Amino acid sequence: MTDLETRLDRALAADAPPARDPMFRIAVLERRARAGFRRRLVAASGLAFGVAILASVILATWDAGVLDAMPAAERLAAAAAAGVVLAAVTAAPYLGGLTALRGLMARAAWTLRAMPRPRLWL
Amino acid sequence: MESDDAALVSRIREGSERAFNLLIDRHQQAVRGFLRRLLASPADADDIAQETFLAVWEGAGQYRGGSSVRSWLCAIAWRKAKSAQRSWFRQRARETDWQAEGAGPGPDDGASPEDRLAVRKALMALPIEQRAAVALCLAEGFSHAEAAEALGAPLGTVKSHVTRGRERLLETLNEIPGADSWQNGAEGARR
Repeated sequence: MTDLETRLDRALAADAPPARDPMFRIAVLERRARAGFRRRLVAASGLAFGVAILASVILATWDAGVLDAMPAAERLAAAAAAGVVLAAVTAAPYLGGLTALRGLMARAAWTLRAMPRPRLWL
Repeated sequence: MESDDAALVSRIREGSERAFNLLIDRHQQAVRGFLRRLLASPADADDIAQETFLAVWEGAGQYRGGSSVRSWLCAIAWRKAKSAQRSWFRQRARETDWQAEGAGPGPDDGASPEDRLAVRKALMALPIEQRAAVALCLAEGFSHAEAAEALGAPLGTVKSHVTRGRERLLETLNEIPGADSWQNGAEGARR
């Protein structure tokens, strides 16, 4: 190896990052956590908005007499059930619902990709 | 090592945090080193390296196992770097960062600051495909075949990029005085 080649090797090696860099790993994990949080927040907001729209449409079209005719206990149970549904929908992205959905979609994509493709020409 | 890496990727696909941490520890140097030589700014390089590992976490299922994990990672980094390069203003705004951040002598690396600057400048003057091939093969120790996989280029093209790029870098070094004077000076200063 000539002197020039040695100098080139050294100059190229000089810019190498350290072999172990926990700060870099922490930066990646932090970025992943932030991206996940942002995604879950958007999903939760979207779902909550959707449920709110749905609830207002139902309330607007529902005959008020039906609710009045309900016994108090049943009315309470219906309100509680609606609350639980809203809470579950809002919390789903934070409780792994989004991951499960993504997993299902990925599995479906794999299955579709693995299926034999129909021949479109003769 | 290769089968270890493939096993790590399949564990990441199942959501293993530990496997993800191990993969980062094992390959961050290669990915960051490649990107640092490819892009003008070390900050941009680290930014894209982080994006690369995030893409691995989100798309580990896309690894087919045909190539080495190292090549696969560098292929993702390469695609991301190329799209970042298209943002010309970002590049222009940061193109002198490396002079401030990377010009000082490293710890016992034996290269003179003049050599480092000259090589860095000559690298940046190479076309991006040639620079990528040089960074992978000469600096990161990839074989030509591995580099061809990572860059998605024919083997012959990669070989010629490496040969031409190396010649250009050697010509650049030939134009500046040898490193001996710097090493003697540095040793004198240590004493």
